[in-house]
Amino acid sequence: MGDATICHGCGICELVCSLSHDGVCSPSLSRISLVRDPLAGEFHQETCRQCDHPECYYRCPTQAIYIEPKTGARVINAALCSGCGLCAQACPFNGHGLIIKVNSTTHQYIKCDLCASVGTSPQCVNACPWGALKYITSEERGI
Amino acid sequence: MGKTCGWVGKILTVNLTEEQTATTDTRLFTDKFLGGRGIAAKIAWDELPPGIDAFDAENRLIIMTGPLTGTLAPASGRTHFSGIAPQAYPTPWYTRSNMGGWFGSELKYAGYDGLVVVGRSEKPTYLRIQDEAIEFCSASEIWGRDTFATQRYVAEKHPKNSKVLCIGPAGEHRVRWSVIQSETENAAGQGGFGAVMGAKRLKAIVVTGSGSVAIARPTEFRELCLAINQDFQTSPRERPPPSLDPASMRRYGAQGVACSHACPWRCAVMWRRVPGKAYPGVTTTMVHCVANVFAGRSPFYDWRLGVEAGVEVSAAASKLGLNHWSLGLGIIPWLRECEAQGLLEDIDGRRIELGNPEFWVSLLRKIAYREGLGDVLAEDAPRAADALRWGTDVVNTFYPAYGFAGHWDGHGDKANPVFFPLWIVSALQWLTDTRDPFSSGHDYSQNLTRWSTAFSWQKLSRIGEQVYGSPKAVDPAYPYEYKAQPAIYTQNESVLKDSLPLCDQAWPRFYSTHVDDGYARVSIPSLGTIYGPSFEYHLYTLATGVEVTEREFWDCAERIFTLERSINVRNDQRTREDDLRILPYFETPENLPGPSGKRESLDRTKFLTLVDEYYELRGWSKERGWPTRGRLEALGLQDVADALDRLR
Repeated sequence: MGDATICHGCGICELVCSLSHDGVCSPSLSRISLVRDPLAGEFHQETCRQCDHPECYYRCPTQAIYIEPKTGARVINAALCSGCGLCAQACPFNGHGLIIKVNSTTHQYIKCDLCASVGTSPQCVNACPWGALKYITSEERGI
Repeated sequence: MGKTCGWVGKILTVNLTEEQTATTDTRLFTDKFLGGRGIAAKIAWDELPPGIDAFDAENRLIIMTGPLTGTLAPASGRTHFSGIAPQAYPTPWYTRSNMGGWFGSELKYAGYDGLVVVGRSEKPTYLRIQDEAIEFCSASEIWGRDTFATQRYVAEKHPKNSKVLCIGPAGEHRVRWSVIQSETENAAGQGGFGAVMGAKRLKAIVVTGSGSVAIARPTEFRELCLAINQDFQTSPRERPPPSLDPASMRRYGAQGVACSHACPWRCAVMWRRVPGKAYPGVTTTMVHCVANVFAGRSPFYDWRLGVEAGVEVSAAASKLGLNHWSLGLGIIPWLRECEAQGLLEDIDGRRIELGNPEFWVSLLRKIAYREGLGDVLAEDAPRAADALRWGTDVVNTFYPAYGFAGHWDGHGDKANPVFFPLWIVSALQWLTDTRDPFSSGHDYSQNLTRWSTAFSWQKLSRIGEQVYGSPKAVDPAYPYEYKAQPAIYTQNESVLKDSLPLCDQAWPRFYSTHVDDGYARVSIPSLGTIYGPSFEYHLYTLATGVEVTEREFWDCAERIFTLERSINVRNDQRTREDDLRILPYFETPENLPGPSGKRESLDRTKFLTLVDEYYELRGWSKERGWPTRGRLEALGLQDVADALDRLR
């Protein structure tokens, strides 16, 4: 969960995300997106809400999306992703392509997996210097 | 050569006259010159021979990032600018500026470590870079617009995540203290590089990048960055500027924000929808650093504009493309003093009214558009004083040398409370620089001023011994001993900060409230304990995978600084005599008494001994202050040694 009232707009969440998942620093490969409108003085984070009823999961024709048992994260399995993009279209929050994105090198889709593939707790939450991101476990959320 | 990490591989040269582009392999430069300021100096040595004026088409506007730009490295999202600078006085010369923000990162994501702009467009142009695609676009619809309006225009035409550098009317009219602006408050201010863009008829550069910066050792790099970010949450409490009145902050949703990509600090404040006092309308802008003086109410800068008008004036300068530092700590105090001394009665029939917001904004407009006396003030105070025949007495109290206003040196800059003998090191930094030395040299005078409120001098001196090699480097009981060493250390550190790059305010990390002895350190599993002065080296090697020793890494800084001096010697015949022009400024009494209890001034004889020691340590001749062949060769600069020999 992101709190736009605390976010100070540094982009560390994006950088630590792509660094942890892909070994590179790249907002376009980050599973969390910092949305900035500097002239309006506004910024906030966009990331997967790990929906109770995940449209991306229902829509995937190759069953590439699974629910990670430990965290409940909805995760794209790269071995099965065909790159069709139906998940990105199905996501009701993905109007600007900020939550489910395509990796322009592999042509596969990526989204927040709560760092399941990194093997740690969510790195963006760990790294946010001012506590603008909170990790709510599946137990706390009751799903 | 294996996979390039840290850098992204190419420097783009853009010829505006021919509307052509070319690329150079960044790695040709990196072993010796790292990135940013270092590579810029090498390009300047090769491409900016003597005799080029700031406004000539042949002048280069060199815009560089470094291996850490666009990475997770704390406060690394910076961009370096250099070229022949119109603000330098009495004649324009090669110097530098830099800014935070997001432009540099985006340039790297587009695939470029830097951008060298040469030539001059026939008609106003803006440059559009989207990854490999580069386009010269007509700026006819934005030429004349302010920097905020220019960015709004660009945001409508190009992807929303594009990052922009642009100039306002001041740059277009070649105001010598005009900035290159990005967003609302990030600006390359010192040097007047906005006027260089204006002379090239280049209104803006718009970049969108979809790529990435590869990191050689990602896990360790992440661990180190996050550990340093933790260390950043340590700072002596400072009195906030009066403009940060809590009630006003709540009223206007003002919030501490990062001014730059990847910064864990929030030293800038985003003010939202603040009503205008000079003109109707509302302003949303980040306010940072010197822009806090516009509100007034500090002891010397006491014009009582108030919060709303302070924000409005700050934004008006940013929109017009004028440098906040020159305005607040140079032009305005100088005009006020000239009026007090009877040199100036009015400005085109209007008395100086610093308590009136409308006076400020109309003065800024006169300068940006070069109307009336504004045309003279557009040349900045040292040239204006010459043109108006007002003499040099007043202007020299605010402008120590080279055309730049005082800065963290205990004299002309009365906003920052640095005291004797800390400013002795500032004076040594001023001595050999080409601008005010504080693009990246705050760390000695600023850090010690601030940390002396939290730590005893004994504790600070013990840390100083670890960092600089002797407790005398810091201990105020030894004002004229062991000062050349910290001056050189700080200058070299500033080269590293501008080359990697890292923010000057946030770096280096020497002091910490997290440990009893106060000496900053972090521990990460794979590297063990790393002390503050080594953070930069480890960030560099983990990001790039380059195998160098820490000594070799610091030698790059020495090489770059010596090369910059050599440019100054070759192009401008810079000598020791020129260096010593800063002495009278420091021979006046300091602003505030320090530990000695009285207002001190520079002791010329003792200082000259330090100057000798400084040159000796630098490997420059004591007589002329020129780099010696021996030192140049030791630094691998044989070609530079040959060129300087031809001048001897």
